[in-house]
Amino acid sequence: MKPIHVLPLGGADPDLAEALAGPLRRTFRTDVAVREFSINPEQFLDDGRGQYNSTGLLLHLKDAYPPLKSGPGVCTLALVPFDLFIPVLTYVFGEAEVGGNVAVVSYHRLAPQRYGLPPDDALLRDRVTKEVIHEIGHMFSLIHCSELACVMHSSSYVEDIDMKEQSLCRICVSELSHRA
Amino acid sequence: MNKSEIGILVVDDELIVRESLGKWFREDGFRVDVAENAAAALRKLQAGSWNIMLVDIKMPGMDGIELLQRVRQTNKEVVVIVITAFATVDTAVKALKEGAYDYITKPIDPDYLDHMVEKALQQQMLLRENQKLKDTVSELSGAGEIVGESPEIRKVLDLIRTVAPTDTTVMIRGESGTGKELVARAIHAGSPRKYFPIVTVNCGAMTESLLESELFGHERGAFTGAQYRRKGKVELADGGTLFLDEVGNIDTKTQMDLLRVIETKQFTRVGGTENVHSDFRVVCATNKDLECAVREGSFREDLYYRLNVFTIDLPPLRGRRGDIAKLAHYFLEKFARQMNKRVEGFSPEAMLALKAHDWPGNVRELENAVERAMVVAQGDIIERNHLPLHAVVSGQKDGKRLEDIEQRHIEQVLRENGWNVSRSAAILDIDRVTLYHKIEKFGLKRVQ
Repeated sequence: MKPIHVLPLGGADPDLAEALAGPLRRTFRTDVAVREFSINPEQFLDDGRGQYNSTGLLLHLKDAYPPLKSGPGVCTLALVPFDLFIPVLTYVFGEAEVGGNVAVVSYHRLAPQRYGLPPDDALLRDRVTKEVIHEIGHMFSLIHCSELACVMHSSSYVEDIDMKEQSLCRICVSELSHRA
Repeated sequence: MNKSEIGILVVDDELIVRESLGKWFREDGFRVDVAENAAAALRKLQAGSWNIMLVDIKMPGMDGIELLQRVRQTNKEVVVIVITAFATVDTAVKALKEGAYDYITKPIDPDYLDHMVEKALQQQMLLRENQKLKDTVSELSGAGEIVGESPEIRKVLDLIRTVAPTDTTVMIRGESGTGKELVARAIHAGSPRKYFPIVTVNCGAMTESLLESELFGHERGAFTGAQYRRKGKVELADGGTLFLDEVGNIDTKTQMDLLRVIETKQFTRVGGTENVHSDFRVVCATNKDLECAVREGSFREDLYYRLNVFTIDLPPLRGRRGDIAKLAHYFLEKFARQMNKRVEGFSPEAMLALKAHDWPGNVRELENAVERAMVVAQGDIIERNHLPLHAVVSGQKDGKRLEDIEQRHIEQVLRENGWNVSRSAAILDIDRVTLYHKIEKFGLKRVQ
């Protein structure tokens, strides 16, 4: 299994990124490192939508992040605090190259206060962890799972994320071991 | 259905839309392909099988609405969802009128997209299931397949409607291929017995012992090879209808057994002693002249009267030429659906040939002719040369049929023997009863 690099970008909370290391190691049984890297996110900002183009960000990382430039040996996940979109959709929680080496997750829409609720760090951490595992799962060629509790179940709303667990279901674990 | 078996085709001239929607659905596990314009989409539609098409309305060249119209001409099954940058009532209404399932506005809410695809697939599944059930019901009842508006066929439908709800035994008469089994199924479907089976026995296709076992079943060890007890068709028809096809071909021993079971509704399986009861209605069919068979002694008179309670005579197709066009179109649509081919109709020459043909094989021959034409037709019209009507058309065959030669020969022998029936029958090597029947059949008269 390829090692995973987590990059907090655009002012993302480094503690939140650090908290991901343990669950990622347990799920994917590989080395996980939180790395420092910096980009200028403004180049991906769409003024009309007030959101950031996630596909542009992924393409940029493939070109700019040295471990990705040097070969396909590392799975890289960018964690960002700003709102992401792909042109045809209104928003995305994250985006990944299925079977590729780069992914991004935004926690802009994962914070409870966005929905008029009091801040809840534990809940935010839980949601971020699930979305990060989900996108990394895609990098390891997993597709969406029909099992509601599986972390690979597709989520469009935070309520969908809350229904899931942080772990892969039995079938996805088996798929992952086949692909490793 | 496994998601990887579900095909989604994304048609959009913008690369970013194709890529992002393609990726979105691939992550869901669907089989996805993309097309950058309408022409590429039509090629892919023809080459593969797709459940859903997501089509951008605004594309250079052929736009999404025109593509939708083209798709609908050849493929009624694929669900088309149109994508528009800004939804106006006009475009939405136009798309829906042309047969789009729904439309979505860019940018798309991801949750809305997932739900729409899920709903579209459910609808497609229900439509397929519905069609399948309709086909099954129609196949079971057969009533839907009696096609025609001629006075002759209307009379037949009236008779079916009259007799179906009763428990009366029905005899259906008509040439081969006129649809006797369809009528039997329609009678069953219109009867209170419709919730029970209609069991068909093809009496002409079996030897004496086989027919006996087929009708009444057999006990284990009744004969070599009878390893298990087997229920017969009479027993299986309990509560429903027993359809005896080609009833005129039943041997004399089985005729007696059949008469008994029709009268008592009781029988014993071959090799058994137990009396088995079965409540069934009898509908039978024949293309033979049973009255003649009774006269000749090859068919029991008592069974004849037991079966011939209510008769429905099916006209030959040449006797209801007014229905040929309607029937031909009915079969064309049926095979177009089965073969997934777009054939819209017949050329005037082809239709003329269909109407002129004598159809000795009746509706079955017409059905086969249309099926064959559908296979060979390349365009959207069936031409005269696609039809396998090498045989004669009306008026050309007089005098060449075997029956015509037989008639001339009998007439000649009778003339040569001064109309002495016994001597003529001996020369012809047939019995006198048969010769009398043939004289009657051909309308032969002694010329003084």
